Amino acid sequence: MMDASISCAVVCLRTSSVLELLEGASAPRIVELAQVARSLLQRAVPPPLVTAFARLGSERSEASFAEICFVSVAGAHVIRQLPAERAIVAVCASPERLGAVLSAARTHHGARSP
Amino acid sequence: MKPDFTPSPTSVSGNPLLVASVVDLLEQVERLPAGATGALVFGDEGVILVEDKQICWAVARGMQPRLSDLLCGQRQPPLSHARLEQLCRSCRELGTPLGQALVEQGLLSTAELRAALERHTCEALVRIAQHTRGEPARFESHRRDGYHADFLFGPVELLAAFSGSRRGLLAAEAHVELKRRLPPDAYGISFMRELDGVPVLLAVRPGWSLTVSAALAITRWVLQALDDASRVDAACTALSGVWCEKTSFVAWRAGSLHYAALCASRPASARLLSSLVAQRRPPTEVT
Repeated sequence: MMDASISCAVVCLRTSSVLELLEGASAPRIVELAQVARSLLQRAVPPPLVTAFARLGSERSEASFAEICFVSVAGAHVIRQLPAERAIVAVCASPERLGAVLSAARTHHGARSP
Repeated sequence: MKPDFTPSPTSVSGNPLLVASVVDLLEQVERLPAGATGALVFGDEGVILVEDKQICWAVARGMQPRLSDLLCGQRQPPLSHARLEQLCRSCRELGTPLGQALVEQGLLSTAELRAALERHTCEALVRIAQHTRGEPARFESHRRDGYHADFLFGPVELLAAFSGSRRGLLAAEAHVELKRRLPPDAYGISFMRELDGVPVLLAVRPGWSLTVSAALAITRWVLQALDDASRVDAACTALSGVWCEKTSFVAWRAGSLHYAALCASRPASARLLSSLVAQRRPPTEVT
């Protein structure tokens, strides 16, 4: 059972539209987040960071982050890429709660394996 | 301008043209072949001694204050010039490096000596940059190597020292935050946004082998990403990006300072993000 204070949805990164509202989702907030998800996930990671990650042992060389989380006093927001230009977006009062939400969502929606 | 006028980084680090010239000097060092040891010679204007893309020392024509003044003034009470001169003579006779002797005799700590050398090198770079304006230098290779690692400076580190010298309190705060906040397996930089939107590097945690252009590219990316995140949450102060299971990137802002950290492990980034969240959480009310 998902916490009612959590909003979570699957969005389309190409159109910023909400594909599926998950339990507890608050639609207006998710639409805003979908637009930001598109902006953040589709911006290329700077090449120096890719190089630095490679030095640290990361073998992947993809252009974008697999997951982005941002936090404020008001709460935390997570965006995780899914296959086929989709992403899970979630909003929560605390980042600790988001872990469980993302794990469940990944299981059900086939998130890209990290 | 008086011929003996020595511009300090304090007086010129807000000058965009001069900043660009300093960046150009540092990038000349970075473009040298790996392992190259020698001197970048800028005609009569100055010399930068280099070892494998690290800067050991720089000196410019007509520099004031001289290094001896910086060394003497590095501690309280100041070291006397007479004592320093006596030590110089002794070092010349014995063939001992002066810096080593200062530290071994307890006259300066390693950190104090490093601070004096960094300031001297920054001031030399400013002066060379001011007079050469991006003209390429001649590289003279030499065989001496083995400068003590404690007294080598990376170009990014010197750029941060140069920019930070004009913003002393902010730069000090940036160094403290990086030291306090970063887990052992993380590297970080701190910067601020100038009024014209250009990022200015203020502090770097040694160990992240970044070039100057790479550091500036990362700062621009962070500013843009935090701006984007602020569209959905105006109070957004921290952001993390997961690259793969092992590594991630964390960026945050505190007042006018921004930070970017590269974490070698997921636990490191989780610890860092948790500490940032905990700091921003309102205190629990006690009834």
